[in-house]
Amino acid sequence: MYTRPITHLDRTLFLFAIDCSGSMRETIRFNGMTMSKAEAVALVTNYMIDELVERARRRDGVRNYYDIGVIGYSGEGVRPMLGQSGGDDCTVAVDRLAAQMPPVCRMDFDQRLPDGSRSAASFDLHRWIEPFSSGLTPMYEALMEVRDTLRRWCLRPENAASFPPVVFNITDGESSDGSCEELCDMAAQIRRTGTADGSTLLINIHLSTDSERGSIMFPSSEEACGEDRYSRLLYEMASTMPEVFDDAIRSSVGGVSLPPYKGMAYNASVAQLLTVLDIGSRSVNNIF
Amino acid sequence: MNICTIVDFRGAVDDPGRRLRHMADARRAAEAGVCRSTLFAECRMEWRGQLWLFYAPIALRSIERAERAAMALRRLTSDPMGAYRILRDEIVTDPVAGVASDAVVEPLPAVQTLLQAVAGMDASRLDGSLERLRRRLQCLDISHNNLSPDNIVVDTAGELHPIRLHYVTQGFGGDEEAFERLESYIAEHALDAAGCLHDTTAAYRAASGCRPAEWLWAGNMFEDRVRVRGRGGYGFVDGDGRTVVKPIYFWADDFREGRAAVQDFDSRMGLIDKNGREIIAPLYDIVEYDADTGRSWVSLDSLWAQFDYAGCRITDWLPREECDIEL
Repeated sequence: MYTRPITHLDRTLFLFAIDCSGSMRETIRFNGMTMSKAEAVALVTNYMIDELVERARRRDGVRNYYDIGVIGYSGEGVRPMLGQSGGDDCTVAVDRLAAQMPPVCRMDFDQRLPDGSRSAASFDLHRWIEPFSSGLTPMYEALMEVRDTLRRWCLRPENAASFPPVVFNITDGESSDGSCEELCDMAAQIRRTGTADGSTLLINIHLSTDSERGSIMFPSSEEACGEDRYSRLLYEMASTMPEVFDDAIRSSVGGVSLPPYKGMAYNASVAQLLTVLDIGSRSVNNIF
Repeated sequence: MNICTIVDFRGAVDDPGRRLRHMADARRAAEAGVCRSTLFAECRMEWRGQLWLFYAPIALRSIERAERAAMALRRLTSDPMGAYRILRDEIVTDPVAGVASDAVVEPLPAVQTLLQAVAGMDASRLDGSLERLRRRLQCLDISHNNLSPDNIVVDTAGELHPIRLHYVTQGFGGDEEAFERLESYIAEHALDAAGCLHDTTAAYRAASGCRPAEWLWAGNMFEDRVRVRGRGGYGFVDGDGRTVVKPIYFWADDFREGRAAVQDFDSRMGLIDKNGREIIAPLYDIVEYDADTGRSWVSLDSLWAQFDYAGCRITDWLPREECDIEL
């Protein structure tokens, strides 16, 4: 399980659900930088999409390794935010996405280093999505849309044996349309979708204003998430990472924690997760 | 060991002063893009008056592989390949948390790969260079283990140099099959002595570079056809720059043995000949053409069938598990 190489014949799906509610106007410290939660969401999402496009890019062009979808949820409802396909599907094939690269934007930040000194930092990222924040947080409705999108994708015969979809839910956790029980139930429904190679991986990225705590990736215990009830809820909702990723996660987070790991990050991107997925591995040797 | 993302690597080669440690005074070489293989992202860099291939590990097993290669290469003090190095904690990925990723560098003796150079070179001269490369590996008692036209560069004297040394192991002999394939490749693609009497450079340039207004991009010449991208999509021009396949495809592969796979804007794939005739009409989900056999595996609605060189279906439509497909 979770061993199917991701190739253009066995494609997979990366789906982002992103919180664009009014609370995302709050300012947080993210990766040593001060920004609004909405900017942090855009940063994480744009970074991950850039990384996915680059990982699909080979010398002869972008290979069609996966579909990518972004579903935004805010007071203006639940809506696709990436390359509208026109149908009832919010996903776009990566090669088509790469054919419509948005402009690069340099994001400059002032970082404070551990020794107290300041350092300018910048990222060149394509602006796949713009920071946006408005109104309430219909996370439950958004997760329903995620579930339905996953079901449609997994039902397609060509996806039946593929590496299962990976869902990134990026939020501050404050849902306005579902109780904790309802959200956990919907998350379970999402985790039950999947392919012959495994169940869908639901990874929550929690953005919080709690400046006392550093970034956390793939915690192995609920305590690591702190006392924040939203953190605990997102921990509960997230997938337990399959054993095949244990070595990679341990190597990536560099800590002493023991598996099982939870698919969760706190004020951090999990782009490193992409390094452990077997994307395009069949072209290990350059084509003769 | 921390693994680098491609986005971080891109940032590092664009801003080495702040993002690299040992190579802070390096700079990205002119027109050098970032590309990737399964294990590494790579970019050409200029450093200390020399060109280098600079790599970031993008998979868990990347550094493990590089360590084995470095072990085999470190004793080659008299050969440029001996400069293959792992730079620990070279790429600063998170200055706040003090996180850095290892990197790998190797000298780049030339820019043009054999794949790019072969069409304009004399086959017998290349054969001699290939033999000298074989002897060099034999003298050094190493195997490259990933020799291909894309992993060999050709210097101005016509000498061949292996690059992307991550698979190198101690002991000669691991490249024999690769050398045989390279000999065939040169025989097939390089010019014979008579051909060298005709200067093809002008035609090549006409096809690949001199139509900026019409073509947004032009590839290399394969079988007297250059893949080009115009505003309407991908098409092909011949060695004189004449359009032989209009730029109407969403994607197209290069020609091999007279056939090229194409994909239209409805994501349907097919196969065309060098005049643009549709040998397999673009009606299918996948067309995987094998130049060695001349046959294609074709998929439609999750069923697969094999088509012959003339575009005729020669097997029943079957589920993939029941087909002997090597893709």
